[in-house]
Amino acid sequence: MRSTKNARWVWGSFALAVSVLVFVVPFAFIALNAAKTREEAQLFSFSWPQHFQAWDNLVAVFEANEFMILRAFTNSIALTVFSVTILVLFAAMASWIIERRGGVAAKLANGLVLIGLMIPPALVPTIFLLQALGIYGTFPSMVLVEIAFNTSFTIMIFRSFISTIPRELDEAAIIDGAGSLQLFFLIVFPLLRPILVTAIILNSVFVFNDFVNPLYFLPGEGTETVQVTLYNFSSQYLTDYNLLFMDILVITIPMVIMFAIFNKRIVAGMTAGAVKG
Amino acid sequence: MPLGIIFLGLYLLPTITSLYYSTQRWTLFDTTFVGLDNFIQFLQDPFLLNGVVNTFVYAFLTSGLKVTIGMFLGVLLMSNIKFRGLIRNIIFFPVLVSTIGIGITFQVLMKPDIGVLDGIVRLLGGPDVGILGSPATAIFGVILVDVWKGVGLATVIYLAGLSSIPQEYYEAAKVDGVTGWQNFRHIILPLLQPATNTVIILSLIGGLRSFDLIWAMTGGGPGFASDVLASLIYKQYQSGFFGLSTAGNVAMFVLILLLIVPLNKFLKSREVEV
Amino acid sequence: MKDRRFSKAIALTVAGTLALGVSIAGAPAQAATTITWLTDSGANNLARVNSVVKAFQAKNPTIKVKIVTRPGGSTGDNLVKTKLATGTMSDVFDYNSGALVSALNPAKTIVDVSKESFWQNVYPSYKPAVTVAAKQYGAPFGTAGGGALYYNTKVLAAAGVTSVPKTWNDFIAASQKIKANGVDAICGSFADSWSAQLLVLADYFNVQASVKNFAADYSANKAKFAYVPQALASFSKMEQTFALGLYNKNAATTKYSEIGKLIGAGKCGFYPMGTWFTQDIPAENANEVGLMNLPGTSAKSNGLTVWMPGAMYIAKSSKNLVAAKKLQAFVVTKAGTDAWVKGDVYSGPFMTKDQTAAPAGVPLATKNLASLMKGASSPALEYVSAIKGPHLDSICVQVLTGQVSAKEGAALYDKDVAAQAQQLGIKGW
Repeated sequence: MRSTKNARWVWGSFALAVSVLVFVVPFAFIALNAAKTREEAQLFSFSWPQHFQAWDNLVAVFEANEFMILRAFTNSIALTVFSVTILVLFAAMASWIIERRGGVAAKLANGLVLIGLMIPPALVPTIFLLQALGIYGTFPSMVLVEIAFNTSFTIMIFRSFISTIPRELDEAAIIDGAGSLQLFFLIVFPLLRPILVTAIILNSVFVFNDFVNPLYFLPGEGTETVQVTLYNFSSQYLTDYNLLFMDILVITIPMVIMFAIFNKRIVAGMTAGAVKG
Repeated sequence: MPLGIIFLGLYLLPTITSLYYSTQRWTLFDTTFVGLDNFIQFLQDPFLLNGVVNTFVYAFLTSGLKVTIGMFLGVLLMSNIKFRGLIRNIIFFPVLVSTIGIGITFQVLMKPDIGVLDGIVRLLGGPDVGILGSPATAIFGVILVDVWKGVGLATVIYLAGLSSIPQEYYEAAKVDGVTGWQNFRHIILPLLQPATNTVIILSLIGGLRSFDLIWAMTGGGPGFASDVLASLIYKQYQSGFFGLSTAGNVAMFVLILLLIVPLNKFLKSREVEV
Repeated sequence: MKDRRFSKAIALTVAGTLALGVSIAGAPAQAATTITWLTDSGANNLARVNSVVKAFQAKNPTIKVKIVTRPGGSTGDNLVKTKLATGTMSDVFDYNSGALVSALNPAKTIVDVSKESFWQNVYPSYKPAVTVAAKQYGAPFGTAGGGALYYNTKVLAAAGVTSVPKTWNDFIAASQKIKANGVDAICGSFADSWSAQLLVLADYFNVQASVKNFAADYSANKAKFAYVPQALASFSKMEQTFALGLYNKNAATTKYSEIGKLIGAGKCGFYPMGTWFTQDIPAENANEVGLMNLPGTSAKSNGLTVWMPGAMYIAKSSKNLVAAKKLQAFVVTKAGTDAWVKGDVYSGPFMTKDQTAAPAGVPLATKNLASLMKGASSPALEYVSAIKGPHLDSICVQVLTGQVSAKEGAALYDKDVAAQAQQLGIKGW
């Protein structure tokens, strides 16, 4: 058994080394340059900063445009929390129904989902519609827009997972006489946990990192989202790479925290699946 | 279903009205009916052919690479090697970072002379690459980064698929004494079909209509060399050719439809056989 | 109104009742008006805009100006157009003047300011830049500049180039000397495709010097770049400089923001660019980098292609027209232009009659610009014709990287221009 144990170490270390090289090195580059002076960062070299000023750069990133980044964090996080919660909840139900009910309606819904994946949303007609409803530019309407634009993707990943869950599980529950909402929350929801977590993470990433839609649907003062802050340091004529890189790091932090929270559950979910099998 | 209402209202309705706008000369302020002129003008775009070719190259290459590498990494991380949790997190990390940020970073990393990637190539004895600067290779530079950023997602989808394969299948295989490769080829691969389908459909559709990374890294350049359909359409929009760009969107949709619907049928049929 | 509703919504959702309390408390006695100003988020620009806003608010204590930023470049262009089209523009905004204005459909979206009194202080030569269908829509904001050639004096001297080239052939000869001396003759920054257009745009003085009615014929669909030899020459200049290998080797991946240091350090001899570039030259090299006209065929007709300042516009959707007009009038006064200079460096002349500031100690290129401005000049084509093809930048990159010939590039651009004219619905296209 010794040799297999060694093999685990050898292969594990090798895979770790490769993944660090491929995936971590670019971020090391970002981090190093985020600690440099403007002039030194312009050299784009992979070297230790001659003049280490990570703190100064961090302060500069926060102070830019009257602490715009703080407003941006508030807006982006609120937007992400609201839209992802609603989206994931409803999409889980919808995909369950589509997948289990079958028939013409489900086929139609399937087609719509596919279309939703294929056609990029039409910006200007959507703005006209929201104006007609009198809610254009409001925060709730932005939430609705994010929900609508990410529906297809979310249903898609839920459905592919639901199709692997044995029908007997929920059919048994129906025989037991559970009502459909009760059935859904008590029986189905726990089964969906692994994909639920994945859907939450991915949608959070999409919404939080969305640049274009908030720009159009959430105009006005104090409504910037975090992606817009990148433009504080990069304009047509001038780019402060040190601050830009620092900003990239800073605005990634919420996503890392979110990932750290849900990550354990992914693992748990997967192991559960493996054991359950 | 409330979700249905939101989806229909905010996505589908505008999409349908955009069909109407595609037959108009539309400056956002006025519309004039021009029939199919927009479509004709769109099809006459001198860079359309190159854009279509790039679109296919981009979509098929990114999705092919994501399937292969994602499946490999998934299987690797399901085996009992050390550090697999850590490795998985590392691979997934780029998914969390904004596309614009990634684009800017790799634009810098891929610079000739001073760029880190070219430095590595030189270290290995290779020539100066400057992959983004040459019209022939720019699109491949973006493809590499797209795969780099997206493979973590494919891996996670595969991991979910792998973890749902019941343990008995492995046990049964062991009893029959099948080797590793046979085990993979005849048991894991077919059972992974749903996961593969998800990765293919998502990355293929994503690849066909994606342009944000291209936009951040090359802006479709040098010249029009790395333009794809979606970025050409975006350029039309940005020029104020709104009707024209809407017509482009409709044309792109038809193209994707022609490709995805048969593919979806095919993939689904394989799923059933299993 | 929309903005107010929006801010209420966000206050309710995010900050709870606190923000609401503030907005009620802020309402009393003297009604302070708040207007919004959409502007580019670049640091240099913001410094200027902030300085102007500060000066304005000091003079008009009842008006508060809120700055709203937008990304620059093409994303910003899109945003401005979409906001105007959907009636969601801020009260005032600054944007380019010239051909790009007609694409904003100003008759429907921008307040007509033809009759305002501030025009008394504005040089008449500026008017065409903000005129669409005989009406003026904006007030000059910023300084005039030119499209020209920057050169490093030390590099030229080291290569034995003793005088500034006055003809295109002299320029090519000088470039080859520089190249032979082991330095890149011309800096290219084609990764920012907009910066690749300068050889064509800045060559317009030479085009109009030999083809008097080019602008009129071009606007009327009678003159084409591919068929008017003097206009085709602009594209041939790109082809020739590429074929002779005069650019830095990595021009296709070099960005505009890198050039200041390159030309300052003498890594290349020339850089065709607009005069906004002066502020990007490192201070320590400010007196080594000069500015010259882009030469044509004859030394006798040597002149500057002039870029008009951008403009400040008022959106028709504005509910605070009075306050917005006050701000617009302010940026044209001496106090307004003084504040502009204070927020930045002096980089070129204003289009207002009472502002003559040309402080001592400005960079060499700024001094050169002042004397070039006194010589022969012509506004750039985009200020005398409403039609500018939107893809000139990418087409120029194609020519400059050898993907298409000058003739092909010119023909592509003619098509691009035709598409634009058709979309604008201009008669005769």
